[in-house]
Formats: sequence, structure tokens, C-alpha cells
Amino acid sequence: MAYLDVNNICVSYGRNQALNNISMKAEKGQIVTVIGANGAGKSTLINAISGVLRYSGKISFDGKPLPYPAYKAACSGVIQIPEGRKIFPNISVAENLILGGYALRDKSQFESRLQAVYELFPVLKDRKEQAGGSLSGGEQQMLAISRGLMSNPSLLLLDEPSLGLAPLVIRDVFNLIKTVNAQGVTVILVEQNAKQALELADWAYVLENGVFVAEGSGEDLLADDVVRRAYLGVRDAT
Amino acid sequence: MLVQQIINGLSLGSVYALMAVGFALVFSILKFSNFSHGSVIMLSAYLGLWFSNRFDVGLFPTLLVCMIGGGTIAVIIEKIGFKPIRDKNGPLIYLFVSSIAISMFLQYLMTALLGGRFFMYRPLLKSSSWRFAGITIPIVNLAMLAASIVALVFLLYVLYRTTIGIAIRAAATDLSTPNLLGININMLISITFFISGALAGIAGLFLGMSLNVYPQLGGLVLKAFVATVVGGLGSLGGAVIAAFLLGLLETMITAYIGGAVTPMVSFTVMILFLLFKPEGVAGLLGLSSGSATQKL
Amino acid sequence: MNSYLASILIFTGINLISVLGMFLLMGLTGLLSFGQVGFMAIGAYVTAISYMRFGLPFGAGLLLGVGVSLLVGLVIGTVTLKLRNDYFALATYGFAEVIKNVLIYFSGYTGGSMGVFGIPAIVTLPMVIVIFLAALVLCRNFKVSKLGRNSLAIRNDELAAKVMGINTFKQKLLVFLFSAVFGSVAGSLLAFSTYYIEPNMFNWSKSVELIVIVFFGGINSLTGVVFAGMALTLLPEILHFGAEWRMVIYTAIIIVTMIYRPTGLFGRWELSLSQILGWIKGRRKSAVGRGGQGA
Repeated sequence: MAYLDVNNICVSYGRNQALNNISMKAEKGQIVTVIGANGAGKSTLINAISGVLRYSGKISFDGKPLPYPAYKAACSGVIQIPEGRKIFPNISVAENLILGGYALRDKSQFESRLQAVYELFPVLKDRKEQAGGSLSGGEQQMLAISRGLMSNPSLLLLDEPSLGLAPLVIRDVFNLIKTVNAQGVTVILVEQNAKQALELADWAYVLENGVFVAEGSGEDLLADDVVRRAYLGVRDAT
Repeated sequence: MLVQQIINGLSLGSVYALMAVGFALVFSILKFSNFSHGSVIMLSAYLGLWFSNRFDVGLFPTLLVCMIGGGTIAVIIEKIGFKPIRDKNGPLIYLFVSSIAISMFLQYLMTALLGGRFFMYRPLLKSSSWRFAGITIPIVNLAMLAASIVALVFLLYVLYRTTIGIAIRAAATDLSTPNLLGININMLISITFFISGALAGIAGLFLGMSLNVYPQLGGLVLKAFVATVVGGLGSLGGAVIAAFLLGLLETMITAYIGGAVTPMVSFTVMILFLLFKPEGVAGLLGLSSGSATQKL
Repeated sequence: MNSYLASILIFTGINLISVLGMFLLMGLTGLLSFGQVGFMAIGAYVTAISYMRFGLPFGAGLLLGVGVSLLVGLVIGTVTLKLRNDYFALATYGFAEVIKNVLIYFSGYTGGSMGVFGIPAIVTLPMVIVIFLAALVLCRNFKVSKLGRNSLAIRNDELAAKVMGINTFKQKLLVFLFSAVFGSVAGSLLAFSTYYIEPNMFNWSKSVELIVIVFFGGINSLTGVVFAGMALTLLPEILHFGAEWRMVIYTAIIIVTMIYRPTGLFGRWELSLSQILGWIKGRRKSAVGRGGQGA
């Protein structure tokens, strides 16, 4: 059984079926990417895995059923970095990180996690007393990811981390995801920014209208004509 | 005379502050005016009365029992009266109306059980007043002031130095994201109600000691409502300052103009405040709620 | 008809008129006001004092009360309706309290906290029924008219309503004045059916009662609100065992409804005249059918 094993899950909002019999797998240490257009159900998928939404079907993680609801999933090492960052604007950067450490099973690790995060993002250390809302968009995304890393997660679910960021900052974010992954964290990355997401991916899925229409290694999908046309903005080769 | 009135006004204001902070705390995370807060005050006053008579104990054990009792009552009210509505994603106004219905229910329940009569606390303090340089101040007022200040400082500590407190402040701007960090939001709400109820418990005990205990005692929650709004909704610091000002104002008017006009003057002041400074005391002092610069 | 029953029905009718005012304000427009009781007090006192002191007939006094309420409503509404909704709620509460305290303070005219005594019981049941029906028709027409849709738009999303070109302030002021008139008329009727009035009859808790009734019936259903108004006014009379327990049961019923049926008892359901006619026809048909079988 795979590390994360999503087995035939369905989610519906009232009568609208948002996800229809989705199955996906991620092995330990992989980066698995889900690409798709707006409204394809990407955020729904992330929210189902992290226990925010009710779903039918089974999700297992590390050989055990994934706990529901969200706070239990978070405490078992599955952390979502939500779309739009959702850092707490009214409390300080340091306090944001303290809350990030809430799900830490071994509280004595807190200081070392904090140092690790500050090493990764020196700017957060400089601004630790500032209110979260006073950071720039890119810094807020760094804070959101750092806050997620504080609890030493085994699986990180990223929902559109590049949304609304400048191209240079996007590159930094994707580099950071690679760094985090290299430290042993399994990553599920959901993105509209298909090219960069696929370049990073060990395995990738294409989501359309609540069903997977294609899957493959990142390289294969990057080379796939249909994917190129639909998601990479490449016109028909002549 | 003036010093005496100022101290009395401050101690009245300190009890208003306890009520207002509890009121503002719930408002800050659930965004509705919780009128059942008054019932917690009223029930705590009855609880303290019963406990101090039954076990013949002094102020401190009674205070402790009122705090724990008030906190527990507030949590029970949340679970029965608000959580079912929250679970159905009902609009905020339903929570508000439910809180009014609950406070009416509990007021009528106590009237039905014990009658509308007034109950008096037996003296929990050794002496009744303190004379100093020609001024006389009721000891209960001093105890009220001291207990309120200690409670407010402790609250400050909880909100700024403990993880749960930080989470409560964070939840004031975003109630859904703490879930993603492993924080059980229902537990956080229960804790908030417990803290709010414990503060109401202190207020209930002191109000009971100085005004006697009766089913309509909870109506005083309106002072908290006024202070919270004048303070700038959701801003705890603004609520505290506004509560002290309200206490001072009421005491001064009663002392120098006459008790009959007190409600009229304080409400006129409040309405003027709303019209010309709608952002409240908090806005006046740059403590505006919910913004990046929020301080207690 | 026995006079006890008549007095209960009069009381219910008066309550329903003020409930309708609250329905317009709170159910339709989403404005939470504790001030409704203030307009009831104005209506009651203006009518009573002009009758008792200046010999003005009841009808004229009632209209005078409406006039004063409109004036006061215009002033209060103009200054408070620009505020955020929660501030508006508090300001209206302050308004009700100030009115009550003015009544207590200026005791030369109002009798202070003793109130005004010896008001003749001029109000009759047919009079209340006619005024109530007129108010009901007015409310119903308001709800289905463009004004009603404007109100609903404001309740659902004030900013969006503004963007759609609705003058939200004007619309809110209009509804506020409507509800002030309803409250004032109810107050006048109340004064001339209870023999005396005193400031404590116009506590803010009276406004709360009206709010609860609107929610109990359902903010989207005029029918529901009318039925809730009848039921909740009559209920305390019906629950006659132990006067002190009936309010406990009354409020408990409200809480249970709020929790298990938060859209109110009636949800969006409205009773229409054609429906009633349909039922009557249906019953007649089936009666004819049965008659046929028998023959």
C-alpha cells in the first residue's frame, strides 16, 4: 500500500458532485502534483484529504486510515497550506509560528523547529515581532509554509502556493518546496501554474470536472500534447 | 468626596470591565452579541450565595466557585444554545436571537424556582467600609476593584503568553484556519466561553454582594453591551477603557446630578459617541479591532 | 362574546400590529431594532395625554401620535441608519431607554413612573381587527412590491444592493418610518384598551419579544410571523397552570425552535388568498362527491 492512498473518494456540495471517484497515490518522499483549471475540484481534493470536507470513500496514510476532521489529520502529521495563505494578520509573525507548532507531538522540538524555520527564512526572524498582516505577499507565503513546517509534518498539502505572487517569488516558492521535499517531507502540490508544478513532480494527475483525465510522471505530462495544449498554453505545433 | 466618588466609580467600572471583556471575547471570535452572558452573571450570583451560606466560607473560596461555576454554565449554554446553530451554518443573527431567548428562559426559570425576591449575601468581608483621611469607601468596592484588576491582568497573560490565548486572538480574524494547524476549533470556542463565563462569575459575585441577588440581575449585561460597542466592537482594550469610563460617568452623575437622570445621560453620551466616533474608544486610541495593529 | 376573551383578542391584535412593523424592519430588511417599543410609547402617551388633557378625540390623537412618531423616526433614523447594523441596534436600544426615561422624568405631563390613569377603553375588537387587516394588506403588498425586493436585497447583501443602484439609506429610512407608524398605532390602541399606561410597559424587553416572534415565525414568511404572533401571544394565556412556569415553557419552546428549525416554523411558506379559496372549493367538491355517492 502506498504512503498516501486515496481510494474512490467522492465529495458533493448539495447536489453538485465536486469530486467523482477519485483515486490517487503518493509514495513516501515524493512530490505529487495535481493540475487543473479553475473549478476543476483541486481545492476540494486538498480539503477532502486534510479533513476539512466530508467525503465518501477511503483515504489511508502511512498504513492507517487518515483521521477526520481536519485538526486530527493535522495532529497526525498531515498539514495543509491553504490557498490564499491564510496567515493570521492580527498576531505577530512569531505568534503565527507558535500556533504552527501546536500540532507538534514532542513539544521539546519546538525551539529546534523554530531555529530551522528561521534559518530557511531569515526575513521572518527579522520581522518576528511584526504583525503577520504587515508582510508582503511573498513573505506571507513563506510564513504560511513555515507555519506549516513548524509541526514537523510528514505530508504537506499545498493549495496553489504561487497564486498572486510575482514570477521571481514564485520561483523561490517552488525552490523552497524542493528543499522541504529533500528533507524528507512528502508533498502534494495542487497548482494552476502547470509548467513549474510539473517540472517539480515525481508523479502528476490532471483533474477536470471532478475526475482525473490523465496521470503520469511530470516529464511525460510535460511532453503530452493534450496537456501542453490545455494547460501549458502551447499552440498546435506546425 | 470627589476622591471617594472616583474610587467608587472605578470599582463600578471594573465590574463593568469584567462583564464587557467576557462579552467582547465571545464577540471577537463568533461575531455575535451574546446576551446569555447576563444569565451567567445572574446564575453565578445565585451559586455564590448558595455556596457561601451552605459551607459558611469567606470571599476567596466563593470567588473560586463562582469562577468555575460561571465558566461551566457558559460552556453548557454554548453547547446547547449555539453549537447546534453553528453546526448548521446558521446566520449570526440566529445566534444572537438564541442568546436572547436563553437569557429570558433562565431569568423566568429562576423566578419560577425561587420567586422574584431579593436575596442578600451574608457579609463575606470582615469590615464593611474603609475610612481614610475623611473619605469612606465600602470594602466590597475595593475588593471588586482589586479582583477585577487581577483577573484582567491574568487574562492579558493568557491571551499573550499561552498558545491557547494566541489561538483565541488568531481566531478573531479567522475561525477556519486554526483547524489546519491541529487546533480543535470547538474546543477553542469552549475555552473562550469558559474564560468569558469565569469573568462573568466574578462579576456576578460582586454584583450580588453589592446589589443583592434577583432574577433580573443579568439585565446588567447591557452595560457590558454599551461598553463593548463604545469601546469598538471586538476590541478588548477598548471595551475595558469604555467600561471604566461608563462606571465613572454613572457614579459621577448619580452623585452630582441625581440618580434619576443617570440612564438618560449615559445613553445620550453613548448615542453621541456612536454618531461622531463610531469606531469607538479603540478607534480613538488607535486600537482598532481586527486590523493588523490589534492590541488587547 | 365574553369580555375576557375579547380583551385577549384585542391584546393579540395590537401585538400583531407591532409585530408586523418589526417584520418589515427585521424580517424583510434585516435591521435589528430595539426601538420599536419607543414608538409604541410615543403613540400611547401622545394619544392618551392629548385625550385626557386637551380633550382631543381618540382618532385625532392616534393620528397625532403617528405624526410625532414619524417626526421622531425621521430624526432618529437619519442619524442612526448610517451606522453599521450592530451600532444601529444599540442606538435604537438607547433611543427606547431615553424615551422611557423622558417619560419618567417629565412627570408633569406623563405622571412619571406612575403613568397615566383612567384612560377610557374606547378600543373595540372590530376596530382592532380592521386596523390589523389593513396593516396586514399593507405589509403583504410591501413585501411583493419593488420596495420589498429592495429590502430583501439590503438584507442579503447591503453592498451589493448599493452597487445595484438601490439607495439603501433611503430604503432603510422608509422601512424604519413604516415600522414606527405601526408601532405608534399599536401603542395608541394599547393605551385605550388597558385603562392605564406606565413607562415600564415600554421596556426594551418588549422589543425583544417582537424580535423573537419574527424569528419564531420565520423571517421569510409573513404568514409564519402572523401565526407566531398569535400563538406566542395566546400561549401564555393558554398555559394557565402556575403563572410563573408559563413564561419558562414559552421561552423553552422558542429556544428549541431556534435550534431545530432555525428558519422559523414556516420557512418561506406563504398562505395566499387563492390557496384558501382553493381549499374551500376542494372541500365543497368532495362534499358534493360524497353527497352523490350517498344518493
